Amino acid sequence: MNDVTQVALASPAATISIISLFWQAHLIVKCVMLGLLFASIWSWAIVVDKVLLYGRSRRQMDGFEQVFWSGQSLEELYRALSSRNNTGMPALFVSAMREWKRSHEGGRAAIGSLQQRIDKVMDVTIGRELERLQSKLLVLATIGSASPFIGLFGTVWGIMTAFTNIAASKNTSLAVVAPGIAEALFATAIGLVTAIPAVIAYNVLTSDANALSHRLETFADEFSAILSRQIDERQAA
Amino acid sequence: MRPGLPFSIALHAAVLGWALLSFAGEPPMDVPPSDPIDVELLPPSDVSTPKLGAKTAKPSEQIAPKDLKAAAKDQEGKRVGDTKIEEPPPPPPEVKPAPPVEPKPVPVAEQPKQEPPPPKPEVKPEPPKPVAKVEPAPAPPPPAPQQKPDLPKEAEKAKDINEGKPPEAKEPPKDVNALDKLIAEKAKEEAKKPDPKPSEKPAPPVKVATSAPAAAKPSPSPSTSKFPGEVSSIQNHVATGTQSSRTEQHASLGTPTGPNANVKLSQSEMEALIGLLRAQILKCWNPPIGAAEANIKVTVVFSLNQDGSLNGTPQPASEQPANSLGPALVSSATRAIRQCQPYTMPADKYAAWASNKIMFDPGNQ
Repeated sequence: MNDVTQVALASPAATISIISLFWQAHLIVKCVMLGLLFASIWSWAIVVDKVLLYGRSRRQMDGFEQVFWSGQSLEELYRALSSRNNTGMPALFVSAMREWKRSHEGGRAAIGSLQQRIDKVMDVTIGRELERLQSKLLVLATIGSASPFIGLFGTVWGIMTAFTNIAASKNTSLAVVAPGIAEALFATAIGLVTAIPAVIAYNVLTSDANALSHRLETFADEFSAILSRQIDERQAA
Repeated sequence: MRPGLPFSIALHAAVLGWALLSFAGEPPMDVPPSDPIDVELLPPSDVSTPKLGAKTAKPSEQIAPKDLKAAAKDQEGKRVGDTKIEEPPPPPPEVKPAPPVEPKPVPVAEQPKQEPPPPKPEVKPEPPKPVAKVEPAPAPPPPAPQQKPDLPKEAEKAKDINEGKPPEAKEPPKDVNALDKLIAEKAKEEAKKPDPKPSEKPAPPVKVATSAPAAAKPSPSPSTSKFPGEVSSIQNHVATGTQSSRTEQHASLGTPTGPNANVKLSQSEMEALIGLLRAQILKCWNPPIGAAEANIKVTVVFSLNQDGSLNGTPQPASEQPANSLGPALVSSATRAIRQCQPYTMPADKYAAWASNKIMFDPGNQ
């Protein structure tokens, strides 16, 4: 998408190469252009990272759920996972199991409010995981909404400069007017090129993150139900 | 997080590089050069000098048409205004600035008189037409002797044509007498005594003016236009010491600054002057209510004195618009012209705004 947009925008200015468009611009317009370029790079970095992270998280969840519901002993699973630095659903499982284990350590098991503690621990873990999944999405949102304005600012400034130059040259021929306007519009073009992918990516990634968090919460509820049943069984015993 | 940044940088580098490469090779859009239009810039002095110093005939011939058309416009306008003014008050010395224009016909009359005694007074007033018809003839001016024979012949033709018009016949004699006086005076006196002359002149110019338009009307205006310019050049040849003072009064389209005043205004300058005048008039103009909706316009012709005051009475150029508001519109326009005087106009370009034709359009005020 980025490619397509840039082609469409750059072709009308075929007379003037992109380099000359940049170097002829006013200093402030240059700053705007560079800032937008960095914003674009940053937003694409975030997008790539997030896409990879979400894919990884999804695969991880799939694998874990498969193992979890395979009938394998929870103790074994805990033992296998607790040594690792877990993220996502395994982290949720491990935190809940750790709380469960701690409550049964010592001479007298603290089972009374164990259910609440486990829920609390899993909520905290879900919150931490969500934070990890959704981090930097706000940056995308900011870039997506602010870039057009920044580009517009560059354009307005560039056109102001262009008009000043036109007035100074006392000539209104197209040859005098066009380059200034073109380089000014170039700033808006960069702003749009930066903003459009960022906005789209933000929406896509936000919905992905919500899906993942929903999946985590569902698993937490299910696991909480399992543990609750265990607790009740032990209390009855 | 690790792979994101390098990947993003690589992506941008690739896109930028591709954009640079793909557009670098493209030839710059060549705007096909538009067909050149030959424009020759002539300083006003180039235009005016041939007229003043046309001692060789050829150049003046070439340039004459352009100059003279412009001159004709001014002249015609002035004649109209002058006749009106000067008829009621016979010799108001103030009016002189305007008259200088008319004298142009006079010189023609002078010419025959000075050099060829034979031509009779009746013949002289009429030459305007013959010369005008023989437009190509302008070459002759320098060689005065040749012209003398021509003029009589042409004059005879003119006589035949114009005999039917009594008014011309009556007035010419006066002109001739007056002109003779003038010529005699000028020949005697040397330059730089313009003051006494003007006082005497007012009478002759007026008559000439009245007669000249009458004679000019039948023949096409452009042809008459050639005439004065030519005359001025002739005049320049003939007159010697008094030339400068003469041109001030006769040949310079009424500008008081002497030969240099022959400089023609460009079209844009003329328009600018008219616009300036128009803006001043429109300030005082209060169009009748409903005129804008009636979509009527009126063009008013009037002439101004050099001090910017109104000279004569503004007249509608054409018939009043066929509308009940027509008379009101005309009167409002003339009232506006009267109220706003004197107008502040560049005095050195008096020739351009001595007589004016301004359109009053209530819909487009």
